[in-house]
Amino acid sequence: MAEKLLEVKDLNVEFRTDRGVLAAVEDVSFVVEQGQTLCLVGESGCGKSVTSLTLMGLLASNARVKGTLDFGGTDLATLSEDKRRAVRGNDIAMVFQEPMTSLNPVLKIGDQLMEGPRLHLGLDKQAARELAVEMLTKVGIPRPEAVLGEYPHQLSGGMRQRVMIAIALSCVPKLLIADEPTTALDVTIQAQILELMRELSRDSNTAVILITHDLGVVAEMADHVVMMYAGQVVEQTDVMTLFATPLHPYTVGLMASIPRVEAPADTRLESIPGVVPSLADMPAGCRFHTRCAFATAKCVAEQPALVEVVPGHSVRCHLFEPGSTTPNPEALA
Amino acid sequence: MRIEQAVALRPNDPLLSVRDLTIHYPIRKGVFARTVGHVKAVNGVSFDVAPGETVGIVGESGCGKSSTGRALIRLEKITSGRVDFLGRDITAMAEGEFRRLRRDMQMVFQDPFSALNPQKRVGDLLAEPIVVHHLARRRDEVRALVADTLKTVGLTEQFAYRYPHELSGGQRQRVVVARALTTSPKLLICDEPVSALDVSIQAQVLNLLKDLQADLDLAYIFITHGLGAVKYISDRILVMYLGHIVESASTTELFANPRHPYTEVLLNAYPVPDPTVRDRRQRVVIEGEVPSPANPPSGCVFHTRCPSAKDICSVEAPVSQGTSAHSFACHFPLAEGTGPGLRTKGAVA
Repeated sequence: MAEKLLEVKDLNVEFRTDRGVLAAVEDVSFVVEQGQTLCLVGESGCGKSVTSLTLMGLLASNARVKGTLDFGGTDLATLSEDKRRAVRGNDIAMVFQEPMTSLNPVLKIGDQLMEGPRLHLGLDKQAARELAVEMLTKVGIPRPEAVLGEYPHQLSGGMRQRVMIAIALSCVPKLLIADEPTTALDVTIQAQILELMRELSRDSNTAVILITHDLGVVAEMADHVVMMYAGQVVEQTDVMTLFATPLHPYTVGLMASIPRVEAPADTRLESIPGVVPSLADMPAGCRFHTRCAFATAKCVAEQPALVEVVPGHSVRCHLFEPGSTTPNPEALA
Repeated sequence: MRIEQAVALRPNDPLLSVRDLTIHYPIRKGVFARTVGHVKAVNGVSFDVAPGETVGIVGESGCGKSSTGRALIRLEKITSGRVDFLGRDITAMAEGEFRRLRRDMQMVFQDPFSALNPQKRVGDLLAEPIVVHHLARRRDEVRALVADTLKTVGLTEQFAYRYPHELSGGQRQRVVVARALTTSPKLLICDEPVSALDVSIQAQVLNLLKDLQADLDLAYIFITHGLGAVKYISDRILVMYLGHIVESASTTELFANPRHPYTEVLLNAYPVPDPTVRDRRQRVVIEGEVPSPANPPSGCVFHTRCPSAKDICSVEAPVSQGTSAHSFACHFPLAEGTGPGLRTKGAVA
């Protein structure tokens, strides 16, 4: 058993807006172990990005956070902004989805790469520069010395994402948060970046929280998976169990709705009817009941709790009772 | 209600026939906008589309797949080559004449958020092509046709009174498809129609496209970078790289028996949604990135990244070989039956 690095407990994030208080994340709990990759999976609006921004302390000022974020003994949620800044980019680093917009366009790559190490590791200019060259080499950028003097627009999308990863890893973080790091990239470049992330996390024992909607990427990268829907965790287990025996109707539906390359011809895709509900207009009871084929009166009336049905496998659905992974239709009555 | 096209297709004629399609965009510089070079987006692309058939075009960004699709409907200027649609060369046609033909070929764009005019109601958006092409005159006829089309794509009549911002992404894409269908086209060019949608919604739209094809005998050109989607929907697939078709085969054949090294790389880079194969897969991760189409490599355009490139590849461009059912352009094609694109080290259970 690896050591626990981060424990998120009962995280709730609300935003105060003109349309009232919107709950973006509700009762999210999970544990990240050292060197492990945890995938947060879900569609747009499920709260996966808000969860990661909360961990980084990058939420807008109208957000209210409840719950504990235990990171090696300190609760990130209660840290002052000063102390938070010492953690951010140092112990916890983040790679964003859009490599086109997340680098500063008016600063040279070298300046952006050296900022973190100089601030957090106290390196002088010379040492920071050496580290920057080393990091660029590590992430597979050709002619690193020259790239230090270039601007982001001179690099391609794949190269920029490599630079983002180099920046994130230059202070040897204990935790790397990657929010859809390959979504904007071509598939051969995606394969390169995923391989790179795998290598780097293995070499430096960095834990990774990978946020994605692509079940293919999940299957390639994850040790542990947290499935989210409409701000809640609906299912949570290790990756092998999830793909072998998915329990929640949403997980099952999502898996059936991806066109698979290895599927025999003429298999029809199952699709989940309807759309993800909006935050301002959440259905009562189970949030998935509007789209669920098994929904009954109980699902409309009563919100199911996240229950650990067997050790290491939790699901939020009335169909399942503790002790069994077989759905029990009578439980719905 | 509609006037049939004067030119009838003979039974075995392709609906669309593209020969040596080439699109070069000039690069202009300086005060006099002097042409200093060309972006060679599409180079000598040839293929046919039969009535009712789905042809998928796959490739990475910059491979020329979107330029090809847009050129077919004359949204891009064709540098050279010939495009015959319904037996008539559209490259030589006057705009007015082409506009009448365009009723039979319609386009579905990638981003349903920007493809619909936000100031118009769905009903007005759908009525526009009906009015432009004189498919109905009286207002109640137009309204009835709009309602019919909405039903075809699985929306209710009430949607005619809504504005695009009131719809979800999936609903918007249905409206975009509906608008393309109002003129009862024979060919629909779909450029990444599901890429901007959520996973659970993608399946809905893919199934809709499949059902429409069965009901309306539509032909599709389906342009995408998503291998799963293209396999699900296509009868035949063209693989493009840097403006060239590098391989073309039926969907089953392409996935079972890829012959071009790039096809194999592409199939291999696709993450398989099955964690049990991840440690057994033989990875062919290629180095480097797609070169710039403004300055493509000599010889075979793929040689700079190809795992099996030899000296000749940088000198001589390979010619297309194989049969019309399965062709590929490579000096050193993979041996036949090298096998499934998703090679694994051990046997797959």
